[in-house]
Amino acid sequence: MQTDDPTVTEIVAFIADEVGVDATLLTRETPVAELGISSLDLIETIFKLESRFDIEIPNDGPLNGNNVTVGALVDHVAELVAASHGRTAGAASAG
Amino acid sequence: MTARVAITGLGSLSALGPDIAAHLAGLRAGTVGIGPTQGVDVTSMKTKISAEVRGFAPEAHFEPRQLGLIDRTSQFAVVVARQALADAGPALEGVARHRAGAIFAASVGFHAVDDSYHKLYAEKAPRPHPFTVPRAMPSGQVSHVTMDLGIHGPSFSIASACSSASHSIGTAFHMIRSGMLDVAVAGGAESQITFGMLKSWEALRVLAADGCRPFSKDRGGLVIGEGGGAVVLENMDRAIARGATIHAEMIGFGMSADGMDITAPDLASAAASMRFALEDAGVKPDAVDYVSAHGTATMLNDKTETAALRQVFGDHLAKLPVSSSKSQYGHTMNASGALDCVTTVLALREGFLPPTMGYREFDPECDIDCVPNAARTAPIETAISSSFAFGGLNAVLALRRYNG
Repeated sequence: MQTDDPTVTEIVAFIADEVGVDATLLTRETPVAELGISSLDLIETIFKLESRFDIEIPNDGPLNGNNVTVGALVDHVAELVAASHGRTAGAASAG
Repeated sequence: MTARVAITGLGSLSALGPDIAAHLAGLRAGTVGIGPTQGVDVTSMKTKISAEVRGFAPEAHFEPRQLGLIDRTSQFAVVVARQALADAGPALEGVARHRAGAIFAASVGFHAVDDSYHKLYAEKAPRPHPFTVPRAMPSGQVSHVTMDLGIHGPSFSIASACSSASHSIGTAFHMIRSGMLDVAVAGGAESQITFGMLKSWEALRVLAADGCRPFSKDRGGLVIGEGGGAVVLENMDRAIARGATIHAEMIGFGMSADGMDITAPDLASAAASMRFALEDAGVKPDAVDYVSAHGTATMLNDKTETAALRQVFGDHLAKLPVSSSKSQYGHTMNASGALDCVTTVLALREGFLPPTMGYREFDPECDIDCVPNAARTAPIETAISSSFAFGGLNAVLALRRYNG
């Protein structure tokens, strides 16, 4: 996955490392289900993403379903990370 | 030589109520015992609902000195075992000490663990409560049952996650059928409604946010319940000779292990356990009138269970009602097999089909008659009660109406 966004690069690298796939081989269109990991592995990967980026990924968000792509996962995590940073920045300026 | 096995006593405690009368009334009325969790502060959780046992007053059942030693799980076990034995009458009278047993689900005393560890880690207490170990040990519930009822023969706990109580009842059934025991009290109780366990279940991402909807296309996962169920199993000749009320006959028990995955179910193995139960009972699939399903309301369980049912019952499935009472009293985990067994016995005895509540939308992958949203009258003669546990340990009980 080509990107200029360092956060996205970090997320992709993190996922690639978790599922044991070379980051350059992960495309946006790749279904998560085809990464060769079980549903339990996916749950653990989501848990590790939550811990690594200090975010909370909801059950009923875009990742709910059977046809989630790597692109959807990365975008969702990137949005949550951005929102989290926004909250932090807001809190800092407010303080 | 094999003996026939009678069910002469029943006990239950769940979100449907404190006893068998409440359980039966709830099944018939389609009561849903699921609601906002009250026993645990769920402010920090996304899942706010569970199927709690409400209004349970431990001090009404136990002496103050006993209470410190008995976890909520074991309290439930003792209460339902007492109910079952009271229902059975003098079932233990005149039985040799080594021929009466108790077999119950193994369940960690999660309240003891949660309370004590919170004090240690969060409150920096210098030591946990001295009874943490006896309250937490998984065999606690069966030990308390034997102490309370005066049972001195073969007694132990069985751990197979959500199949634990079914394995316990099935094993007791085999021990009576083989002539080893005259009487057994069997079942299981569980309360995982603690802060630590609710958070842990939530982390596994299998909990439903708004309700339990087995076999419905919009099902969103399971709802944690708590409670207990117990049955008195007895040698049929002995039960008849002493004039006992016989609620139903237990006729078969089938088991299998997927040997595949620690959470995902396996179709072929689930089907095998149902087939083995029917073979053990000497019953053809098309003679089955009702299935009390495992029916957890997770996407994967319900579609796998439906496919397994189709493999076992074929065209007969079109005429075979299959319902999940977890829609009413939640998933009580290690107790679920016992509560479902009690439900099945009541359905046979009273001639009705317990409903699957919360059902909203047809799912082509769950194309069964799940008795949606209302109980129905039906003169059923033969039924099975299925438990398919995490880790692929399956146990299926076969039961028959007792017509005297």
